[in-house]
Amino acid sequence: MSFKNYKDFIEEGDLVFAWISRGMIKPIHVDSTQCLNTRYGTFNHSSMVGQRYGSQIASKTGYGFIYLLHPTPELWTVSLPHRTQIVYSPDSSYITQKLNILPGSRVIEAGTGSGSFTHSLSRTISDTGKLFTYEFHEVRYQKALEEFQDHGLKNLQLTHRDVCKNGFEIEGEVINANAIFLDLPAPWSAIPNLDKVINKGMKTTICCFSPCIEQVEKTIHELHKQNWTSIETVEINHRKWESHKNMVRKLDDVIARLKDIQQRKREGVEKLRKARDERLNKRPAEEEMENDDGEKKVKTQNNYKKDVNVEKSQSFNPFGKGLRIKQGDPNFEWKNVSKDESEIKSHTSFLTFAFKLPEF
Amino acid sequence: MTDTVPSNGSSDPQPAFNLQNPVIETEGLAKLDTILDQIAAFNPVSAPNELTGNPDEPRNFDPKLYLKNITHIKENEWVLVRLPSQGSKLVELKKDRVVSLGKFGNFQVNQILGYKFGQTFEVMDNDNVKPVDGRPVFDEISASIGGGGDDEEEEEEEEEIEVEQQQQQQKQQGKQQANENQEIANQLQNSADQTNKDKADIIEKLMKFSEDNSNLVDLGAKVQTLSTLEIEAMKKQSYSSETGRKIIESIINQHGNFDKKTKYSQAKYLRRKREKYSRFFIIEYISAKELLNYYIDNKDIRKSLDLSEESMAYILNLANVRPGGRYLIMDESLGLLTYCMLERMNGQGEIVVVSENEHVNLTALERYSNYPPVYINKMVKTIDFLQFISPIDDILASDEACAFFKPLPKDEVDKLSKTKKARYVKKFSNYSDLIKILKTCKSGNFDGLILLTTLYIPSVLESLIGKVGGSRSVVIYSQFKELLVETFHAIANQNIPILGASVYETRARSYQAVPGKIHPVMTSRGGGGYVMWGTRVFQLEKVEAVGKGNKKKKQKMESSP
Repeated sequence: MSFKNYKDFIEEGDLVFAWISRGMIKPIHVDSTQCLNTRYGTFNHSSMVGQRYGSQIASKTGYGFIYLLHPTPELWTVSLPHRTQIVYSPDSSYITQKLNILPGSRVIEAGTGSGSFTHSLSRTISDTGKLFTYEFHEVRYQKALEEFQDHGLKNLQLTHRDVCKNGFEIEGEVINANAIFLDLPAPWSAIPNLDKVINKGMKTTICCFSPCIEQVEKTIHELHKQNWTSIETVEINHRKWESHKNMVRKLDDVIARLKDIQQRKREGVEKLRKARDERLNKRPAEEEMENDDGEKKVKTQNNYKKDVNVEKSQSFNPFGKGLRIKQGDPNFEWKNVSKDESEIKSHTSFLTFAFKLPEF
Repeated sequence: MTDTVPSNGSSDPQPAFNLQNPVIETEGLAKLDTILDQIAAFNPVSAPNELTGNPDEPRNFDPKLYLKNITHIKENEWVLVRLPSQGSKLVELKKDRVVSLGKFGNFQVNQILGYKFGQTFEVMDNDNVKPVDGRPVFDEISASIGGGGDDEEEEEEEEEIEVEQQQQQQKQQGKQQANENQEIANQLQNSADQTNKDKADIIEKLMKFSEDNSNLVDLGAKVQTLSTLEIEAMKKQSYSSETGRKIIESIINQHGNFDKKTKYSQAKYLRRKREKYSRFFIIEYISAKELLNYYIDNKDIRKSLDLSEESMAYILNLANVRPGGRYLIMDESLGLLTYCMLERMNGQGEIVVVSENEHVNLTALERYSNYPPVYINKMVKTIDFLQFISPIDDILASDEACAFFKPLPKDEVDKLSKTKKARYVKKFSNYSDLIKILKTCKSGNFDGLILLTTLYIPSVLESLIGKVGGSRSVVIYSQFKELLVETFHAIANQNIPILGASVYETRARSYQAVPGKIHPVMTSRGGGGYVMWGTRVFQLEKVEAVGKGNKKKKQKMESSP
């Protein structure tokens, strides 16, 4: 049930990420007395025990299915309960890289928030590193504390603290941080407190994560003032591309179809004329009656509709107009295409990076 | 039972994979185990290193012993030298050598050894250097002073000076200039006595600036009364950083329009001059991150498949790379991906690199990472596609390293002559290496699949996916979105067991980080590639989705009386 090492088989008590549909992953603890209810059916936990991680399982009725996935920080990021705005993988991965966070790194994170980045950092720094994470909100702190214990994140220390007012120092602990991540409303008020807890023997890197440009400005001022250097601000633009198939509809076919329509019209007009002539010649009395009788009129219309449908299926229809065509139908030609989502995250936060050189 | 791809084209295509269980060649693996036992028993060298067969290596090889000390500058290592121009250079620190940094001067290797990485050095005369506090220097070259060039008139002016300078440099090669040079040198000799006065002038000049550029008229090259010849003459006097400083001071002092520039414009102008005439450098440790950026900035980026720092970072996190993991990868980025992964794995776990060639090109990793070969060999195993795909029996029968080699019992090896024995030991180690990597590959259950390749991805996936463990990440990088979109459709059409695959694009947009003038930079690098991320799963043979199932059920009920 740990994020740390991959397991192959699911056991009682494991934390499993139930993949229900795209964008819907539900973290569950396997408990054989329980069952998971989804819109795709009901799944007994007992049917999960002994399965391989990654298995697809069918619901009790045999219709509908889910996948049982192993927890990872990245899947956690897309499934966790939001207590705050969270740091998503495109941002967190870039920050990890820019701050050069590696196994053995000693990292400060403030605040903890919903713990999305915390999971990712804990994985990357591994057993040899240590993460000091601070949360000033009491309820969020309690939730995070339970969650980290539950997920077996042992290489971190969570502290309930307002680092802007009370700094980062922890009694009985030499923090010696070499990477700092500040996701605070006012990072500039925490920056002066960092000098006491960073490793002065090596290059220390910092990233401040703020959504507003005014915050960035104040942060840059403070970083300058506190001897941080090489200040850089970037923003991560992220896009998810969805794949589709687009029907290849060629002009030749359009022309052929238009010609076909015209021809049919001509034929149709002639046919109608013929039919009318026949009617007029043979049964003029009935025609008049029809006009007065509503029931009969409806019938005639229905007949006409039927005729059109027959005509449609016989007509030249290269693009399946009026029919329900599934993307990729082998009777048509398709081109593989992509477009981005209808709603995109166009701004998360500005990332302001800087570093401090070792003492000279 | 084999793991090769079944033929396509039958009317009712068989699924290409055993979807419910991992693909394992049980019989072949048993054979490999027997051979491995034999290898252990027949090992020709007493108490050898398990990897190299070399008795000089420690017997119980622990990669952690080879982890790099990344705090201090050491001889015989490659380092990154950061230059005032914001450019950088990779340099090998051979003892007693002098390294040339072109127009930024030279330095003696011995003088920088032992200092901490990140140390700034000032260039003095005679290839001497002096360690200095790097902060002001970093601030000077930092992009924060202004990355984007949005003052057009200044750009032009800069160019004109540059062109003139080149012309002058050519002329200078002629001897007719010798007399003039002498004159200028004399003048400079005199002006050197007035340094203090100059400085005062410069300070005064720097104090004056304009609120806007309404009075700034483009005078072209005339704006600068200091001639290029004079600058060149000053440069010739010495290579020390003091000279650089003097040149910059003179340039400002004799700039006709300096006080008509705005404060920001002045700062930008100064930065450009410093980039050109300053004489200092910074020694940095070549981390995977630095090496990647070096390749992006200095090498042909197409050779590393356009891979940007942000895409690399995204790949590493999505693939859940960490100590102890076993990863199956294709790396066509000259080993940059492998190097980044090695850093994140910290001496634990292994990387198997599959390649279309017999030998994988990992130049960047092997040349600049400073990892000893023994470390790389332990952590990184390479195998070509033929070996990877073929059944074990075929390899044992036909592969160069094992088909014509028979391990001998120890006492027979001892009877061999010295040269024959050496040859035998080499062959033995090739043989045992191959058997070991075959064992690893054929056992499968890898903790992740990362593809960074120009091969047609669906075909690669078909043969590799069976070796990936359940619920492990599959991360595929391509320069071209279209190729990943095609892969997406192939996954659906060919029933490749990868769940939730999507294509992602991630780009870092840089800002000019100057308070009061924050804006995105005007130009930045294009490209950077696309990343596909999905999860390896085991699908049920027959399962109906909810909607489908109900519909069919309904139809059945309706049709039956």
